[in-house]
Amino acid sequence: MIKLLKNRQIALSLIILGGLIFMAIFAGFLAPYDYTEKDLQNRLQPPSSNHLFGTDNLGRDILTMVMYGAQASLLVGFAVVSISLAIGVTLGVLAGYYGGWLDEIIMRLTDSFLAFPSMFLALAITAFLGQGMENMMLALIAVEWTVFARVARGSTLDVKTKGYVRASRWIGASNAYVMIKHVLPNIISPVLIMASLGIGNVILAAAGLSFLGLGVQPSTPEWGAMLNAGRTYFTTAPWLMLFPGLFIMITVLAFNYFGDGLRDALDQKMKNIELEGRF
Amino acid sequence: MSDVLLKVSDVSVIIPTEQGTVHAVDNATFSINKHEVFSLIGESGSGKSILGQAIMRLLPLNAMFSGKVELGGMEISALSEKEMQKVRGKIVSSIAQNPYLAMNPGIRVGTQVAEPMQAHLGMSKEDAKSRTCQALKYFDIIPPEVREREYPFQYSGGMLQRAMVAMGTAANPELIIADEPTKGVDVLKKRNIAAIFQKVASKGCAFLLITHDVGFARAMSDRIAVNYCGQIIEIAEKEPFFKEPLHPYSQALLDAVPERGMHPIPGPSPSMIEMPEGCRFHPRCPNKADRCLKNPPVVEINGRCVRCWMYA
Amino acid sequence: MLKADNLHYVYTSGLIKTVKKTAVCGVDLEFFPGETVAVVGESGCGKSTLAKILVQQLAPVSGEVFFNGTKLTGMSWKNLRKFMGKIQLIPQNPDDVVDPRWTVEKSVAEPFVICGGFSREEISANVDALFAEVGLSAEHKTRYPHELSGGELQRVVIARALALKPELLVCDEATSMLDVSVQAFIVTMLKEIQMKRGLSLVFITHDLEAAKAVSDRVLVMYAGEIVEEGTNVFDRPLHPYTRALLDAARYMSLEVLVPEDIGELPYGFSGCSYYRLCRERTDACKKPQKLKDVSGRLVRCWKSK
Repeated sequence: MIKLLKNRQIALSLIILGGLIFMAIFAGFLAPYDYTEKDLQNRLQPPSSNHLFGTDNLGRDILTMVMYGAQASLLVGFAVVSISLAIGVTLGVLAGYYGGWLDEIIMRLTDSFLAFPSMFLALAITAFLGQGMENMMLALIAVEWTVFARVARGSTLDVKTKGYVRASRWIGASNAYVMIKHVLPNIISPVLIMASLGIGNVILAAAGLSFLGLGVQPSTPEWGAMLNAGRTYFTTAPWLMLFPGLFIMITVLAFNYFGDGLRDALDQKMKNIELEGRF
Repeated sequence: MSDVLLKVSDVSVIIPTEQGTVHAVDNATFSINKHEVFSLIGESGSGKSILGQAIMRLLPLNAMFSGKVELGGMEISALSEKEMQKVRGKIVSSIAQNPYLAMNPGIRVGTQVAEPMQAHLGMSKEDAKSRTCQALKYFDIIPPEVREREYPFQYSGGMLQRAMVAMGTAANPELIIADEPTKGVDVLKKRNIAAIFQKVASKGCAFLLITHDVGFARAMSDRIAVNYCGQIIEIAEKEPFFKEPLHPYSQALLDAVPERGMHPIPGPSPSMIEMPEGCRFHPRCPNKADRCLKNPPVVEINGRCVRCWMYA
Repeated sequence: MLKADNLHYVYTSGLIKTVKKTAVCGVDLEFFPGETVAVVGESGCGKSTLAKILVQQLAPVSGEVFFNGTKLTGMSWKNLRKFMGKIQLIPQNPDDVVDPRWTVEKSVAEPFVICGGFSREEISANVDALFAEVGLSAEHKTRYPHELSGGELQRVVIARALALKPELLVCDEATSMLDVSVQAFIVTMLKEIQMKRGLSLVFITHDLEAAKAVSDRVLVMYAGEIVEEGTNVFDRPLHPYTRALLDAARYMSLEVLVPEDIGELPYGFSGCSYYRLCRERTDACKKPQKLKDVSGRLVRCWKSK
């Protein structure tokens, strides 16, 4: 565990993510203003000492909104990925372990979800269900779970053939025991990597949906919604789009960097396991 | 003209790892004569593979090498990588354990066997092809013209092993290093590997056989060296060695063989990171004494050498 | 104690054109309590398949296996659970049979956990006893499989196999990947355990000398059949294949290469399975050969007297 932190990619990305999460949690204390506070006298002000990121068309401080926006984005990211992981891994492990018709059904289900380009699927679902953060999250879960199902199924197929699974069954272990105690711990690495990369994707997708007007309510601070609101002022007051866009980019990059670092570190660990002690 | 083909002088290899520094090879000194089959026997993890890699200059990147290796009078341990590439395959060649891993499944066998000939001997494609057919025939891979065009998956296991040996000997090396050629291999295959090696040796090639299979070493070799915990502790001609091993470890190792009763060697194997002080075998030695806490000298007796205080 | 009648196993493979390969052909055998039996043969002779059938990991295509009189083949998995601890298999490669994510202590405790009915203190005490029995110290308990050497890991596998007090241990080439000194250690340890617990050992190996050193009885297998069975098989080999094996083990006549693959017999040939390679074959060998009792030795060759 601690060895993982020695990896520079992981350490660096964790610092950035830590900062972002800190900002999201303590936005209430850190933000200089209240995000609902409208100051119509000071609309569309460029960045200054009073307003580090400037103000938007209703005079709200953009820095404050970015900070509160972190809450929405990160919440959506973590929530969607956790639920997708739970659904996807369960279905994937069951499909991989039991095979046969269960595998067929689950795989066809996965395929049917994957047949749609993800953005369109999310759009369709949100359009159908209506605006709002929960509906947006549902749509994103619908898209994201298939990734975990595939990864989990593939890894399960690999683990299923291993001798220790047979050895456990051979002393009388039930299928449930094997799946929980042997399969799950051994597939956790690829699943975790997918999860960290997935958060980045989900945040980006959520921003995209909000940008298109689906997703969160228009006045909630959320980076995508801010991008949408800032569209009309792009040439006159670019800072309305600049800062939320920058933060989306930094967050997604940090998650991707973390995921890549994790993948490299875990690969290395597997390689070391093979090389260790057997000169 | 000297008969010595390979001379290894004071070679040491140190490998830093997370758990500590591994002294894989400690001052190895020995020589192999032309046309001689020389076996280095010892347990897994005692550093003998690393010694083989050190000779071929194929050590892991973080390994530290010191000492001198001379091949036919030329010091190969000081060559640049580019110069070393000319040496490998031509003068010294190594034979891998598993033919399925050593041969490229997507390239015809004939092409792979011909590759060293073209690369090292500068042969033309046609010449190499006829030489390949000759080589395949020599190793009982018949009909050679047909087999030459086939892919590895079309060969049986034993045949592919012979093809791999043909590939390793294609450029007529003077020395072949074979690392654990019989690991996990059954009786008949092992015997065939011995037969193939003998065929190669009969053409004049010298062998450095690195193995823990005492029976195989006995069947094949002219001289035996015993490796323990990174050090070479005994070198002797085959018959005298098996009749009367001098070093207590050699004696214990031979007693562990099924024919002599399968007596295990007492005590735990030493770690390659924290080695016993002085003689590395002394904690497990039935003849240990106080002087064993100091490094024993290498003593020459009757043309053999032993690293033990008992003979000093 | 363990009896097998007329076991057959056929591997089928191939998608479009099915290829059938007979791995085990008409094998009858019986193991008695406390004895050590070696099963030798080259790779591909069916000994590993036989091992898996005996421990019920594979169901034979035909034939039955009895344990202390109870028929095990065809039993439902639920009923078979009661017998699982009694017959255990030690495979060749220990790396594959322990979960790499578990400490070895957890792996050895697993049989107790699955079987149920043991308290945590009992499990802990039992695991400690098992580790001591295989010569591993307490500091090995908390290690992971990749941190142990091959010999140590194989001992962990043996400790786990001993957990539910087996009556029969089948070692399928358990020491083939290990050094000669480690082999000696593990074999000596297994013999001590056998004496202490009174269990039977079946050693499947291709190392003839090791088989001779450890066993009371030897079975020689070729192409899925038992061709010779008895005591002192290697001192007085009666079947031509046993003789060929011994010559190979002693590295005789290295100028010729011996055929390594068992290969297929010509279609419709129903004679001796060793016919193709036998140096002593005659026309009489074209008739099917049965196991004959030749003064206490079973041999599948009409020539032996």
